[in-house]
Amino acid sequence: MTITEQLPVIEPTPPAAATNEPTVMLDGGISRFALWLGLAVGTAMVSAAYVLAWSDPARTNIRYALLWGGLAVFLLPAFARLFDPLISRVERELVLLGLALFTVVPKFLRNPDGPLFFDELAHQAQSQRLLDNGELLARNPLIAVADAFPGLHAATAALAHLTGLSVWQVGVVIIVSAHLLSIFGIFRLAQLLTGNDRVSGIAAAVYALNPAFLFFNSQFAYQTLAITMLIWCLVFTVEASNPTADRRKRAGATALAIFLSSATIMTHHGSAFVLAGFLGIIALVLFIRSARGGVEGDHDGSDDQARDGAILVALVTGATVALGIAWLFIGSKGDASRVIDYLLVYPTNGAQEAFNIITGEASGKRTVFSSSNLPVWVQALGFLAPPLALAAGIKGFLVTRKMRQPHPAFPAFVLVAALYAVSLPLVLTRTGAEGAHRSFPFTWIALAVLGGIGLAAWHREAFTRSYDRGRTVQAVLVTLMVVVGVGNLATNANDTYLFPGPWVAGSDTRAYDAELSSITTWFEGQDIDGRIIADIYTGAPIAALADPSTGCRLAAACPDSIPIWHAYYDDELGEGTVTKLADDGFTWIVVERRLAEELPRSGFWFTREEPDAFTRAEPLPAESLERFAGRPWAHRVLSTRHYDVFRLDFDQQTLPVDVSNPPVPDTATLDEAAAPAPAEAAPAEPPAEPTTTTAPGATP
Amino acid sequence: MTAVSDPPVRDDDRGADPAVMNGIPVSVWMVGGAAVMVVLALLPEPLRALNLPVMLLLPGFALVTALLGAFRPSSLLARVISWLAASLASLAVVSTIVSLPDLELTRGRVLAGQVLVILGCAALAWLSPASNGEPTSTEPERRLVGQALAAMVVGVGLAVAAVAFGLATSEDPTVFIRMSLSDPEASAPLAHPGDGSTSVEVVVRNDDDQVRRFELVPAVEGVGGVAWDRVTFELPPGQEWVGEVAGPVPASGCLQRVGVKLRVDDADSNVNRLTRWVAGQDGVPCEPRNPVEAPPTTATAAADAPTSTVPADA
Repeated sequence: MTITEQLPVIEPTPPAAATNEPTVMLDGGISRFALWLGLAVGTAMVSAAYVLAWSDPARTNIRYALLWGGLAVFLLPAFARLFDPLISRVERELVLLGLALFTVVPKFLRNPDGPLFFDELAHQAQSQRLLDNGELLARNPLIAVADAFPGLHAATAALAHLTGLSVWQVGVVIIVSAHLLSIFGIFRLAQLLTGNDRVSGIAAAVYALNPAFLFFNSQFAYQTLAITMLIWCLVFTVEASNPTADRRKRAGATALAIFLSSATIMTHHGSAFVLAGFLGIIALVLFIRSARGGVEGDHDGSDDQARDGAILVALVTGATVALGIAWLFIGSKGDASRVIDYLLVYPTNGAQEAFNIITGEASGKRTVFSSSNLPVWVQALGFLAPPLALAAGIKGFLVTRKMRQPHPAFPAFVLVAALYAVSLPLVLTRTGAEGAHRSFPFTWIALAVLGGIGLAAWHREAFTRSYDRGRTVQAVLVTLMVVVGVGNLATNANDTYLFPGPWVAGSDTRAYDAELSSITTWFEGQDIDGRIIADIYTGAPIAALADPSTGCRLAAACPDSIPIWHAYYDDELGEGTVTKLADDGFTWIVVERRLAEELPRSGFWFTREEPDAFTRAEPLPAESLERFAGRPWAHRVLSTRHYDVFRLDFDQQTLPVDVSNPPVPDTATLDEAAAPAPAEAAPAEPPAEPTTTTAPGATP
Repeated sequence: MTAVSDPPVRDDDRGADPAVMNGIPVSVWMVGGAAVMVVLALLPEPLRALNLPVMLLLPGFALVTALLGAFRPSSLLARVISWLAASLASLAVVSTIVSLPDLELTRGRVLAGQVLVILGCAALAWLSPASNGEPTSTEPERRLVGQALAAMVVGVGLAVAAVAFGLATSEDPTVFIRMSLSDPEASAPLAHPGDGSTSVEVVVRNDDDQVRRFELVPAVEGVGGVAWDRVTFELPPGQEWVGEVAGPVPASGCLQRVGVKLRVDDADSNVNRLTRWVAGQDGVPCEPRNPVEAPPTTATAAADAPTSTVPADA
């Protein structure tokens, strides 16, 4: 008996007049075509939203309406189809296929031509370097521990080698694959746990509503691939623990689970930790249940079968822990402390901030949406989404409590889903919020299953009362699902992440505009033989794309290097700082002049640890940026409207300088600078007549 | 209207022939697939891209079929997705492992690694035959699936067109002008030759949206500075100009700064001047003509001061 068969059986007989009406429920013909028409119209509306973001950035509400309206045009009929118990499994899977592909569209349109988000830049650099030079476990220019988790980069380079596609093209393939794998992984997982297609389809749809699904986990980044490996590891683990399956199948599933587990471990640290914990909880639950005398209900196998399942999951868990520890040393080339220190930053700071808040110290406290530039109505939905999601999960939990558990591992998923509720208060802390947001895609794996059960139960209960009531409830449920999707995304991505548009201070996704791209292109032609001093938004694309061959190229991205903000924030650029910069191998400074005009949206220019991070009220003084111009070791070799690039040669630090060279403000004309010399000075050449040419060196 | 009830998951293991697919042993499918993969991987670009679906599915097909045997999440689509998961895992894990000995990932190793995985799975499937059979479906079900597929193809086609439209009409409208020195080794002090003159190669790129008239204003800066010949030129949008500015450098053993200012349409531009330090002539002592000595304000400042110079802009 399956989980929903244990719910009250319904016979929804619609009124005679209603049977011929086109409905989104129980009348597949019309809604099936409406669904796919919605896919096309929705995609067009989302595209229009992105076009509008460029052409008329001020029309905020219209582009949000287009984005969410476009998504709703497909999601509403898709969710409605998934509620329909009469559609075939194949069609249900086709709807899920459409859902997986459709949810790739917004992020794909955000940056179709190449990497943009900070993590994407880092992983593009790592993959490109692996493809070009074959260097495995080589330090990354932006993320200090990315080298130790090469699964994504190895898969990308391997695919690029064997298909001839570029790294970015392979990246897009992996992103699309990750969406497919996530949706179908949850579908399969829910099938195994609940034994019901309809519940499983709804669960997969609920997972697509998680805060990270549309954007964060649609990046070309290691967590995007790792979480899909984790989900499929859970699929095979649950399959292995299924007491009704034969021994050979369970052994094979165990082997596949360990294989997927090792892929997770080699790909992403956080996912590996979560997987170990998740598996540990499942193993614990199975052991407790087998110790209580086997599994009741549908899976009324013997104690031996239940114990076998527990042992197999314990085997997967043990292998995950052992492989994880081993890989920590292999991946870091023996320097595991480097990785551990990096990984402990967030938990340590988060715990400290939580402690501060509990003890009454305001440090670390964070106000949700305090600096958000999202429309108010979107922010409101952001507050609405968590309670709605929790309500569906609680409903699912209550439904399953009234009946015999469909699968022995089911309570483990209830426990993990509960962690979502536990993690929500952490969004009120600055560092904890980062961790909480990172945890949502994992806790939603379990919450999606419970939510799918809850939503299916509400739907069914409504139809037991009347057909009209059922249809109304269905409309409400699918609408609320879209509301949860909108609200969840609002908590995870602000306007600068969602939409392209003009340059925005302190935003990685808006800093990399055509002007900075031009500088990045210029750097590709240079011999970047050292490290780069720059704010993190300016330096990231240069360090990652121009020449990714040096680890920790950008000082702001590497916590083990000099606190680079000293070069900007100190009262003066003292000899001690200059010597430190020289010793650390810096050869370039890229100055973004708008640091003296704007405040960073993110709250910091370099790292979260910089002075006045999150509290800075005034832009940097202009002198902080102009201090490099007069140094004899700094040659300004490039300038655009907003950027200056200095080539550094600290060997010149000790060379004698003609101190008669007065400071020349950048705004002064050189006619003033090259004014006639005093009596004792050599006479200046008279200004020559301009030599007019018609762009002799002009090249496209 | 049919009564609504949640159908249980079907067990599609029924009727499965454990060792064959379309009448051919799965091991043979695997070996044949591996051969196709190798051939496609050796093709020149862009033909090699044909290998993409093979790489994304074949290793996973081999792994899932060999290890799970009759396990099948019922539909072809669901099976394909499970192959995709195992394939990506194989690409990540095996490509990493084969590269670990000397930390070098090469095309040959990647290919060899995947081939070994597939052949290993083929051997396992041969020794322990238990594989997928063909799914069974009824005629009405096939018809419904056909309708859904047709609708999906139309919808996806239109969606792709909409995406293409979005890509074609979205463009970063940022306009700017870029001026740079062309010499990548610009950091080294430029020692001017004995005749007391030197040159600097400059690149100007017009990424504005209209034709602009540019004027380069070069000079040796400072008291006793020298203005060099100016250069003017016009550039249409998207074009780049490369050329030299040259002029004399006063005799001095000191580092002196050459600045190149850019004027656009006879007005000062928002592009800062480029600066390059040039070395004085050999044998000429560096004697400041108009020394400016600012006393350090604090002990720290004195300690931090450069050892023998006072920066011009300090």
